[in-house]
Amino acid sequence: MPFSKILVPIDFSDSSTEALRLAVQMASSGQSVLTLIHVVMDPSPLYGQVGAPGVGGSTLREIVRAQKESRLESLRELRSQEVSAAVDGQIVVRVGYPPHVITALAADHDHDLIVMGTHGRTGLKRVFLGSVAERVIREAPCPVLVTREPPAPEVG
Amino acid sequence: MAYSRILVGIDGSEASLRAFDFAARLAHDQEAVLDVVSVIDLDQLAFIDFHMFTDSQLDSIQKRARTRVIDDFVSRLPDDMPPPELHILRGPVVKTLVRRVEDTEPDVVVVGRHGKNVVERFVEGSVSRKMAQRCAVPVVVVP
Repeated sequence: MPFSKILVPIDFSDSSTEALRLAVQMASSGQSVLTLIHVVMDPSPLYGQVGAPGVGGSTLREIVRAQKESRLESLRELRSQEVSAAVDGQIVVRVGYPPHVITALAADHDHDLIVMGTHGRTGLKRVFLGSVAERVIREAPCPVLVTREPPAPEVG
Repeated sequence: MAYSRILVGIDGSEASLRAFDFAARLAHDQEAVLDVVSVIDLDQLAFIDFHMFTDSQLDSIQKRARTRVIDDFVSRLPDDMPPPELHILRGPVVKTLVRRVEDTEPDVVVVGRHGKNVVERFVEGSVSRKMAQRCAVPVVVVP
């Protein structure tokens, strides 16, 4: 397979699991490294300004830190479920605005392909392309493979 | 995983050249059929040129487009690849590409992020975004 570093944004939706499966298939036939990245939305621009008692400052940092750890654990689980031992799968959790973090990481680490789902956990299904996918497509330094949600299970 | 059919949509843009190279690499690696599709939207040309095309003009446009695609794109393929399919289609770009995808059921579609036509210079990447929205198969958008 010609892709050596594949970046897979994960938000734990069915869509991103499907994208991960496709990325694993693409990685298995060569020497690719898969990087699963989850981005925790940075709440401080909102809550920092609100400055409500008990929110903001170290309490916020604690919340974000706990969330990062929990998500890292979830990525670990996802990796063990979906990424075969033959494939080198890295896991990363960051905090920030997902499209920016994803495209910046792709640039900084010279990923040659991003594989992601069209939709994530949030947002409306009737919208044909989620805002994160759209933004990543628009700003990515490398090709972006966008994959649909898994097909509905067959009957009979 | 085996891809058996890869569709790449091209126009004259730099991005579609990179899309072509990406699709070619993938097709080569997967030993898949490469379907090279270029769509001519005459309505856009008509808007610029304000005249109707005769049959022989249409024929000539089609031939010139075909030659252009062969010279600028197909020539870049490695020698050990079988010749790709090549289709010069007419109609609205996205609709025509989506129909081609529905008709031929490729495993993946590849397009450049920015196009070359007048409309896209104002609305960035609209063809690629619409392809990502509408295709039932995975779409690769190449910057």
